[in-house]
Amino acid sequence: MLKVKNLVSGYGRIQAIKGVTLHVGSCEIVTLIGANGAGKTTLLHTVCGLMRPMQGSVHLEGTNLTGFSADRIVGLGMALVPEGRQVFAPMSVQDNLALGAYQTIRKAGKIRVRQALERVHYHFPRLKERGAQLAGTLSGGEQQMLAIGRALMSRPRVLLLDEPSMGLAPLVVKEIFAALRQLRDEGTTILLVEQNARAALELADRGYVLETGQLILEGDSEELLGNQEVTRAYLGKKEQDRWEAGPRQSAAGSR
Amino acid sequence: MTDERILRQLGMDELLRRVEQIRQIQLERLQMVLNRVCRNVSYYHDLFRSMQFLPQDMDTLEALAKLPLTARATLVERQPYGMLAVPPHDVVRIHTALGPDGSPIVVAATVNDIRHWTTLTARALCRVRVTRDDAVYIGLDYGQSMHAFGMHYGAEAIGATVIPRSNIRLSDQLAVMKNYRASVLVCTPSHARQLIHFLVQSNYDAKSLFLRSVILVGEPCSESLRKSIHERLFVNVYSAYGLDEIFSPGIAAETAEQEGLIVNEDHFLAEIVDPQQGTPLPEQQTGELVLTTLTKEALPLIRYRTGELGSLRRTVLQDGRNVLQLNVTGQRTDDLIAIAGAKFYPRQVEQVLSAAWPEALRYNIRIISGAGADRVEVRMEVTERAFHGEMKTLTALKDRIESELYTKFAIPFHLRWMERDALRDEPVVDDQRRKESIE
Repeated sequence: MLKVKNLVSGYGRIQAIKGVTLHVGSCEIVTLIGANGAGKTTLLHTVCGLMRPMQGSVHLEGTNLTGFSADRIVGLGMALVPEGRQVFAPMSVQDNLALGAYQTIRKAGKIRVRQALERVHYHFPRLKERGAQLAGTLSGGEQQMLAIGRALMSRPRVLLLDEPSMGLAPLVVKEIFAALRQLRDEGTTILLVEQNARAALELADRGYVLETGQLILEGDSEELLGNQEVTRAYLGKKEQDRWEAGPRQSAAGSR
Repeated sequence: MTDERILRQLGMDELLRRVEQIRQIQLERLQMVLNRVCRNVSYYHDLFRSMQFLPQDMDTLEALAKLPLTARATLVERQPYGMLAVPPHDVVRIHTALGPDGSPIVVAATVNDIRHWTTLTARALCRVRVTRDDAVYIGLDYGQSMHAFGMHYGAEAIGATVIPRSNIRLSDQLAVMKNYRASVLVCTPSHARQLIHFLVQSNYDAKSLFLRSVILVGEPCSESLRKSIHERLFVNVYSAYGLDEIFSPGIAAETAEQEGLIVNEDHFLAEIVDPQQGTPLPEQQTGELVLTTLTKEALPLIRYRTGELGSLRRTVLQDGRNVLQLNVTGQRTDDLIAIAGAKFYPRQVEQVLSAAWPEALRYNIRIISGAGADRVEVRMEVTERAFHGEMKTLTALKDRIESELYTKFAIPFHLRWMERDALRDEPVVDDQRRKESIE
């Protein structure tokens, strides 16, 4: 579905990502984990057109998106849920969602927008309850749901998420990740950037590990969870705890 | 446009899509392995730096040819940890393979390496329709090479019943195979020949066994021997290929339709190079097989010279898959001898001979195709002085040398004394295995 090849991007002369090649298959959740400053957000922003790559290419189902503007890429079916939610605080929940359908209403018509809204309300019922409430007065978890819902209003085939679990309580993270799993099952392809490596790997089908702008590891979730480098750097669980706690829920088992 | 042309065009698109998919995965994994070895393996870090090569310069698979080849000797020189890409405490398994001078190469594996190894061997078994309903007899020596472990893991992963070979007589092995209804036998071609010879000699009805398939590993096998195994054991015969340094035998395996050895391209980049020049050779030309591992964690290898001669060919299988077919000739660029599952270099034999008889002159290793099994005969020139002493001294020395060779290589050697200059015009290695005979 999504193919990134030899992508180089950065700021001025600084290359934040150096020759990244990855792919996300149709109806897959792929996670990209890495420490602060690894280049995860830069990668997402380059893929969705907010930044122009210095080298390399991005293809979405065969269409070369390299150099396209962000709004054009949204129109082609890829939407970003940015880091930190970035909802429009002074506007209501309903208006935030409506803005997400800015392109959809012109291209696909009111019926499609209504269907998209129903889908968002199905996955996030709280957004329907709080439709008239100002976005800035929502809790962190609700704002995250709103940010995802807003992206879903453009009816994307590929959803990019930048650290959706940041600053959220574990129960809320669980709820949001369950919704992502459902979206995947319904046919949405997801590229998820996360610092919460364990939660991301337990949700995702596959993962990549980004370190100082380069991919160093790749594999299915079970493989990455079993990799000692990943465990030491990102998972932090002691070996004794792993065995004492009993059998771990596998990525497949958690679906 | 006719329906036929549309369908043909659709077929081509699907083929192209599959090829594109595998190339994408290969490029991703190649870049990752280069990033990792550049960071974690001093040999490759220094090499890349001396070439002013950055891993991000590897923007196509074809650019791999820019990198130098990794010699087997490098693995020996850099022991024990010099080629590891992970800290030693991440290593959960250590095996040894034979290095070019006979000294061991340490082969390390992480948990994920074992997992990949298992996946590849399970894949090899599934390709020839081994299922959980099968009982797989591992007719290999677990101490001689890693093939036994590999196939053991793969069979267990599928859910088949695994019967590892014990150190028992062939007649007892057959009894075990029969009693537990082993439907698949994994063994070397030598062992298969030995088995058939035994069946014929003892008038044992091969049809009374429950074997359906034989999977040959560890040695090259001629077409005539494959045919004999097929006819004498009433089985389908398949091959799988691997190296002790690299997930044996998970590099390539045949399909049920016996369409040749198919390389597991998601785990390996395979090339053929000129053995002298090291330059890449085109498809179907015979040269040295060079492998780059795409998923090995502990011991990733970049353009590793295997020493095996073979050729590659891209082809389309009956089921429409576009694959890379490997043809291994059985010949090598070095003088490694493979016999009955064991491997050794002539200089290792020379070391034993020189230690036992420093005055020995020339020697010659002759491998003879025998009834049921190949034999190794070592002929050694000695001076006239050797024959001046008591016969029993010479006999005791012969027994001692044969015993040392057996201990070292786990196969019997037959030593023959030769007079001075008898071997003057003989090569060091005389491999007479041209035709296999069962009778």
